[in-house]
Amino acid sequence: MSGFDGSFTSLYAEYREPLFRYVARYTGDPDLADDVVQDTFVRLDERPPPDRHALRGWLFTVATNLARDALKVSRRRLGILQEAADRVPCGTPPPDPVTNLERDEVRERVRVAMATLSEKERTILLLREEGFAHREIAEAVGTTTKSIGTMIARALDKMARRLEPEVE
Amino acid sequence: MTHTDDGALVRLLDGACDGEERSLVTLHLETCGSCGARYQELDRRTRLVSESLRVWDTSVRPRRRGIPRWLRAAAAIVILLGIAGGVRPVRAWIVDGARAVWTAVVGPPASQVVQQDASSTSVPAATVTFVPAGDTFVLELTSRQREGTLLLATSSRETAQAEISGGAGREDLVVLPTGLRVVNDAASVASYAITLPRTMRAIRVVIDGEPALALEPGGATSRWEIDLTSVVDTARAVSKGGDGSFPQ
Repeated sequence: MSGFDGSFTSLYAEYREPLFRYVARYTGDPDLADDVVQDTFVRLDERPPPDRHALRGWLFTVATNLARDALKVSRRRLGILQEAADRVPCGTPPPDPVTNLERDEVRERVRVAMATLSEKERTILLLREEGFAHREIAEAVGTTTKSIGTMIARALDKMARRLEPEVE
Repeated sequence: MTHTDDGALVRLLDGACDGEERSLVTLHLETCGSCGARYQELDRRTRLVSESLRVWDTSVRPRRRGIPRWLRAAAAIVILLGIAGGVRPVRAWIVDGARAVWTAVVGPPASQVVQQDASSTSVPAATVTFVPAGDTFVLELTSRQREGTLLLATSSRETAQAEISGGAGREDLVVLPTGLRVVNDAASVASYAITLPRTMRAIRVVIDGEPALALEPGGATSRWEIDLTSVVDTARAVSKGGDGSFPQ
């Protein structure tokens, strides 16, 4: 008997892409993100959350913890971020050289900007990008709802300083 | 005048203020240009970060690991050697050598392997758990073996599991987008137990490039046993019904 009574396949179809996007942004490593997403769904099958109504938050929290553990074990984050910055976009025709150069510059700035955030700030900012409410983000990172706004503002400030060096 | 802190401005931006706070902050913004400017700046930074992350996404899409040109050339040489040898011991040597080179270059296969355990006992065993990508599953074995059995089953679990038992540590399990590859050789004596979700509509077993053996899972759980030593056998359904799991 499966550990999860809902439609596992439909859940996988619904959440795989946003989970992958989130974990890939968090780790900077698409292969690691693939593994983490797979592991997250195995966890769902084997040890599903007691509250099925909080499934989305549970999936992202589990994925965050698995991604953090995987990064600690591999200790290759910096190398991966460097490598990711050099990758060519896949699935789309190559843009003209000027556009390509601009995108490469943006990628490099994003890589540097993400590296300035603490793990908690990165988690908070990326969960916000996925549309989570402050209350859900607070539960995921173990802090108060009121403090989330301040942390987001701080993370935005750090990111903006790196994305736009002239903003001081 | 007491200005509004950035946390409250972000809460307003995100619709996270309760009714009272929303009224207070909104009222303040109507009269305070400084806080209004900060609110606009936070909104602009939010859009800047979102757009930048979308650009970042294009560089971190999943990709298939490419094979370096020099490795392709080396593989071609090895294949030619295999053709020249044309005998199973040579092929087994090639498989072992290729695996060693591959592992040295790119590390152990990990793209979709989600859990893997290997015992350190004298009888090696390895287990891998994963989520199949579709409803058709292709199981490849690189070789027939000296001894050993393949046990296939479907179960009500949503994840797939593959286990090696009784081998000498020379076999490997590689999860592929289309299914699973068992990397073995002619001298292997291992057996394999593979459990798939019963939602699988078709299972294809390909051993050493032989014509595919087509298995059609029934509505309930199914089990098959395949002798890996003989070319002439077909899958033998060992039971129907039950939970599909293998005895431990």
